[in-house]
Amino acid sequence: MKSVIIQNETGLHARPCSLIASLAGTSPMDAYLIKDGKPYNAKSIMGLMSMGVTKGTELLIDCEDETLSEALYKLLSELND
Amino acid sequence: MKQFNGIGASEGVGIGKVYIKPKLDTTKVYTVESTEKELEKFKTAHDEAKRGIAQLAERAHEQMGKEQAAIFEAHMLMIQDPELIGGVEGHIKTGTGAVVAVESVVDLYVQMFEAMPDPYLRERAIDISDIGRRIVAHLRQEQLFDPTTLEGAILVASDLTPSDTALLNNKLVSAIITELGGATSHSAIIAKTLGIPAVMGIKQATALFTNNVEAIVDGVSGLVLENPDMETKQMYLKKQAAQADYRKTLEIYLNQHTVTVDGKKIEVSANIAKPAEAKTAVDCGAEGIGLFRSEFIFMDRQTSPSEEEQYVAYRQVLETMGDRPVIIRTMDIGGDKQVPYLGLEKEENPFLGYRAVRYCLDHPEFFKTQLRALLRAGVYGRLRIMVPMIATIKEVRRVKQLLEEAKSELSTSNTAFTEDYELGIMIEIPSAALQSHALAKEVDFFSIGTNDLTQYTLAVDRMNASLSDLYNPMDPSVLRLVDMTIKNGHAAGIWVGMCGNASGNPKMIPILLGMGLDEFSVSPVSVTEVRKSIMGLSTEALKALADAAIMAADLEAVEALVETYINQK
Repeated sequence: MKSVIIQNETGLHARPCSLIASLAGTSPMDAYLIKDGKPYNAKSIMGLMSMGVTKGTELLIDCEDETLSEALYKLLSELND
Repeated sequence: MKQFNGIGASEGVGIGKVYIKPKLDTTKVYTVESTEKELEKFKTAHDEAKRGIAQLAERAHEQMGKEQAAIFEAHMLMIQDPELIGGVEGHIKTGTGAVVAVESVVDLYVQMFEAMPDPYLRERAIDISDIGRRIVAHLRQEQLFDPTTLEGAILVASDLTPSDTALLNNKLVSAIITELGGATSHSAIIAKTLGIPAVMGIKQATALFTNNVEAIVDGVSGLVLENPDMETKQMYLKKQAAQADYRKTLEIYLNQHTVTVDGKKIEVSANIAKPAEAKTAVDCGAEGIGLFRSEFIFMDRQTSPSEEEQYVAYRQVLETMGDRPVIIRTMDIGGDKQVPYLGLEKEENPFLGYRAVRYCLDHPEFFKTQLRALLRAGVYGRLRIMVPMIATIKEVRRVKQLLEEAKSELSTSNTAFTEDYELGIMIEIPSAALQSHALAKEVDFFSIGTNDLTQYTLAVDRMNASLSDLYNPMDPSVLRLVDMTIKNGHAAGIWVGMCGNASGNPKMIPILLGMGLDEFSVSPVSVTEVRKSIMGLSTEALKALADAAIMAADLEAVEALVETYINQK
């Protein structure tokens, strides 16, 4: 599983979460972001927002769809609000 | 052409097609059927709700701009959230009906979001509950009130709640007509703040008018004309244009400091109810905020707002206002409002009851949370704390004790707060006006709340349309209390302002200036007009008028005195 550390100053608020949920929604396969050992459904905007991610948080990308996994990694590492 | 007479509650002329706000039938029972049926009903309602939001998102994109449209796009994602849908279906499968299932799941999310430290995320709680309400409305087959679909409509309702008015503006709605309320009801205050003409107190309005019929509303005279003939319509169109021109002439008063002809500096401030309105106040030329109603932060939620949350909201207003002073009124809620976590019991007479400062003094931890939030926010602007509903000096002294405790608590935790603030009280209960000589020594200012002062002095319910003749702040009895308050305040060296509707009343302004009122707080749209009036008057010359007014035997005599004065000029 790929790991990414969130560099975004404002962590993950509504806009990044909607980007992640939209992206994850393009694949029929399951996708999860794991924070502190707890998995969160990447297609659920409310689940993502409730994660409480701040700058410096490490997230693990758990996704069987390789393409989606790469895309999520890119999105999360490049978040810069 | 039919004519109706109501109470003019917000000035201006509105012309448009009638739209009657659909009534929510809370007595209609939702029949729970089999699990399969409930799942089906949920799917249908969910699809309908989704379609509704998609339409809104599209319209928002065309008409409102990127930022507003983004909100509805987030709603689209939320309503399609697999956890939300899964959660509701899961509930239904355990045997609950679709309505309860939706409400339970939505409630859970709302609570989760309301508890988040990030204020931006906390706001999403409102979005989630909105989505829930939309789905439930479809399940119950009820019509939703969606003002964003309106175009210059004449909105007719029995009453308007703050949630109803959250999305309103003067392009969507050209006038408001309500069955309940009067010139100082909360709907009237909202209409004035939005600059929408309004007429209130037309009994059975929702039954009297028909959707899509054309109507003219005159917010000054209280006249409503249904299906006007061409001639009448032309006349009102001219009136509307004249009013628009007049408003343009007021623009030169936008950035001026209010000074009377004889050189007395007066503060013309604005009354606001939400942090976002502070910017409107600045844009309308207000020299300060004369009343920031803090109720918005306590209402429409299940749990008490935290100190952090309150601090953020108060700070926002103080920062927006810069070096202009801001009066923030502490919690002023009673049994007439639905605020479950306060534990208020239903009372026979909520306006004479356990409310506002009475509740706060009995719940010191709750009250100190607000006080600490205010003191912390005060670092970022010119804070004036104001306590409502004061009846006795003992209450003021207790408030001051609690303020000291709050400061000490903040010191102990090394949290920054201001020592540079003013503490004032509202004079709205007659006992306070009568005891103002003693109260003046305890505070830094008074703000006279004529809306309630008139109500208590004349024992008249300001929401009762049948009593609108009796409810009048120009009654000499009320004027005497106002005058007494101002004189006593000045004798003790404090300033006296007014935040009730009377401060914007062109017939009252000369009297109030003559009495020596130092600050007039009005709805943002009225600021330039009130400034213009005051700058054309001399307080010295008005002393005689004020003295005569408080000796008048009745309201008619007062009005005659004002008439004479105005005609002389």
